[in-house]
Amino acid sequence: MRGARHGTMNALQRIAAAAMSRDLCGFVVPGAEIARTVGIDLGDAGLRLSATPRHANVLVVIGRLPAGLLDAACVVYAQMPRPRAILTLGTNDISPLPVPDATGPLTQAGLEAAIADIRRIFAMAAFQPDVENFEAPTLETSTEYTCPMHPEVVQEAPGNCPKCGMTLVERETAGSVHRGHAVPEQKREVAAQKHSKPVAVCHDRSKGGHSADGDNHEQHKTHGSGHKQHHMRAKPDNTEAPLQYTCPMHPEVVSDEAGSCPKCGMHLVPVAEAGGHSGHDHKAHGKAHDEHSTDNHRGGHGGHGGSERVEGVEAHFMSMVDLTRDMPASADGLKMEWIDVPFGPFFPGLPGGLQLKLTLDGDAVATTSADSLVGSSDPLRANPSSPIEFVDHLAALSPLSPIAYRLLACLALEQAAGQSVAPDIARARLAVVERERVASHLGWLAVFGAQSGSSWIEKRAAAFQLKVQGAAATDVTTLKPKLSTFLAKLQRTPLLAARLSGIGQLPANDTLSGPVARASGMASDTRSDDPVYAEIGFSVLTMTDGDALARLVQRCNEITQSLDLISAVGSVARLEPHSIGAASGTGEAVVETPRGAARLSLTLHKGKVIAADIKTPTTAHLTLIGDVAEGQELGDALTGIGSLDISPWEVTS
Amino acid sequence: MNALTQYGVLFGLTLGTIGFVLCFYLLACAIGSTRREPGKDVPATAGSLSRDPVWVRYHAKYYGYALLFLAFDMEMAFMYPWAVVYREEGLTALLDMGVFLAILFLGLLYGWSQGALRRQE
Repeated sequence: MRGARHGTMNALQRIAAAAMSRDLCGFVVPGAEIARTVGIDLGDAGLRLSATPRHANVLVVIGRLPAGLLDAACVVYAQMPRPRAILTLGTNDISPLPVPDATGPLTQAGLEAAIADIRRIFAMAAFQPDVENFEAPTLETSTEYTCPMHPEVVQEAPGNCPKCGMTLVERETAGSVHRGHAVPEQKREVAAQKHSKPVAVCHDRSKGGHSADGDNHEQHKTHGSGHKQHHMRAKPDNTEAPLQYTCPMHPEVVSDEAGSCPKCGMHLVPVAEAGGHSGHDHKAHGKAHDEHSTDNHRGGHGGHGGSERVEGVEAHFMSMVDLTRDMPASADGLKMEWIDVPFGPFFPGLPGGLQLKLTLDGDAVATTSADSLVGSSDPLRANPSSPIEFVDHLAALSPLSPIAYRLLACLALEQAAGQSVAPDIARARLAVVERERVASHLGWLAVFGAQSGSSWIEKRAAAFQLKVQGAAATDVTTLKPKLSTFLAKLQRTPLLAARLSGIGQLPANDTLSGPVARASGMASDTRSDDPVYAEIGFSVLTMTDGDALARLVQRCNEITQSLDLISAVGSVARLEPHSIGAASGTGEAVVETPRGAARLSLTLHKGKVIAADIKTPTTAHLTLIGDVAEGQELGDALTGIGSLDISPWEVTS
Repeated sequence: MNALTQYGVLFGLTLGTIGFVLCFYLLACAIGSTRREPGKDVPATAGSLSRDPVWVRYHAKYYGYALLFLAFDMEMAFMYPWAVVYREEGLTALLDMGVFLAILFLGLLYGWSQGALRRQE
C-alpha cells in the first residue's frame, strides 16, 4: 500500500486499521455523475462520498482520465490524509498517480469487489514502517530569480538585473512539469507583479467579447490611464538637464554623479525621473498630469504630491493611493484588489472536468474564464474508421449522454449510405433517447442538489436516475407516478423559487439551445421537425423567464413529457448501429440531445468514415458562462453556471 | 461542604482534565506520526494550484450596515431604562416597546427587500 501511514502494525494500530477499513470515504474523479451514467451506485457499495480530499481516504477513479484531469487528480491524492488508497474502475493506467491499490471493471459488481479488496488492504497494511512521500507534479516548485522592477527579467541563477543592475530576488514558482495548458506561465505573471494583473484581466474581458455592458467601458478606460501612468514612470521624456542622481528605491540616496546605489546596487537615475516615486519633484509630476488629463482618471491621482517627506519614513509609506494605484477598478470605480479563484475540475457543485477561473472583486465575480479539461477536439479518432468504431467513439465522446450521440452517428451513417430504418425501430430509438433525456435531467438535478446543499434532492434524483436508465418501457410507466410526486415536491421546496428566480437570466438568442433556449421562450427543438415525434403527439414546451428557476422547471416538465412519450411508444430498444456495407456518400444528421441540438456531418468512402465534423450545444453554452456569472455574487454565479447544464466532455474546439 | 473538600473537588477536576488531554495525546502518538508532504500545505482548490494570497482588501460598503447597526444599537440603549420600569408599567410597557421594535424590524425588512444587505447594491 503506497499511501500507508508511517508506523508498525501493533495491537493499537490493528484496531485503528480495522476501524478505518469499515469506514471508507471516497473522493470520486471525475465525478459521481459519471459513475451514475454507467449505472454505478457508489453509496450502495458502502462508500461515503466526500466533497473534499481532506476528508477522504479512497480516491475513486471512474474510467480513463485525460492527462489534464490526471494532473488535477494528483493534487487531490496528495492532499488526502494517510492512510489512503486508490481504487480504479475500468482503467489501470493512471500515471503519474501511484499504482492503484484495487481495480475492477466498470460495473457495480466490479466496484463492490474492489471495495472489498480495499477494506482488506486497509485492515492489513494501513501502517507501514517505510513509506514514500508522494508529490503531485503540478505542486512541485522551483526557485527562480527576478528583478523587483522588471518582472520580465527571470533567470535561474542569482545575479544582477541586466536592465537596472539591481540585485535579483528569489521567488518560488510552480513546477513546469507536464502541464499541457499555460497555467503555470499565467500564474507566474500574476504572482510576479500586481501591475500585470489588470492588463491580463482586461485582455481576458475583451477576448470574451462581452463589451456590451456599460461598466466594462469604464474598466477599459481606467485601465488605459493606469497603463499610461505606468509608462510615464518607466520612460519619462528627458527634457530637463539632470543635475543630481538618486536611487529609484531609496530617495534618500542623492549623488552628483551617476553610479550605483550603496543600499541595493541599482543604477542611479536622474532626479527628475525618480520624481514620480519620491514625490518631491512637483514639476515633473505636474507635467505627467497634463499629459493624460484627457483620460477619465479617478482615484489614484489626487494625493500624489501631498505626502511630505518624513525623516526615516519612505515617501508614500502605507498611502492608500499608492497601494491601489495599478489595481483594477470595481463597477463602482473604486480600485481594489482582485483575486483569482479556481473552481473545478473536481468542484462538487459543478460537472467534473469543468475548470472555472473566476476573478473575484470581494464576493462578486469580476471576470470568468471557463475551460474543459476533458473536451475532445476530434470526432474521428482513427482516420479512416469503420462505422462501428465511429459510433462507439462518438458515444464515448459524451459519457453524460452517450445514447443521443450514438443515435446521431447512426443517423448520419444511414443517411450517407442512403438507408432508411423501419418505423418500429425508429420509434424504439425515439424511446431510448427520451429515456436518456429523463436520466440526464435527473443527473443534472442531482448535481444541482449537491451544489445547493439539499442532499435529499441529490439522493432522490440520483436514485431515480439509476432506476430510469436501463429500465424497460413498462418499468418506466410504473416509475412515473413516484417521479411526478418527487418533481412536484421539488418545485414546492420552500425558498427554492426565491433563491433561483432572476439568477443567470439569458435573453433569447442564437447561442442558446436545448432546455436553456426553451426556458428563455424560444421554441427551438429539432424534435418538432421529426415525423416520428409528430406521429406520437409531440409539442415543444417552453417557459418565458429565462432564469435558473425557469430552467429547473423546464427540465422537470421535459422529464414528465419524455415519460409520456416513452409510454406512448411502449418499447425501448438497444441502439445498434446498422451494417453500412461498402457505401460511399455524405450524411448529415441532427439529434436533440438532453443539452440541445447536436449536428454531425460525415463523409463515407467505401464503408469507412474518412471525415466528420460535429457541433455540440455545450461548446456554444460554454461562452454563456461570462454572461451568467460576471457581476454576480459568487453563490449566484455558481448557481447560474450550474443551471446551464454544461457537459465539459462535449466541448469541441 | 467545607473549604478543603471544595479544593479537593477542584484538584480532582484539574487532574481529570489533564489526564483526559494526556490520554488523547498518547493515543495520537501511539497511532503514528504524520508525514509532512508539500501537497498537504496547499489550499484545497479542487485539483488546481492556487498560491496567490487571498487576504485582500475589498470595498465592504459599510454605510448601510452602519445605519442598521446604529438603529439596533440605539434600541438597546432605550431598552435599559425600559427594563427598569417594566415591572411597574406592565402590559403598557410591553406594548410600547413592541410597537417600537416592530417599526425598527419593518425597517430592517424593507432594507432587506431593497437589497441593502447585499454587498453588490
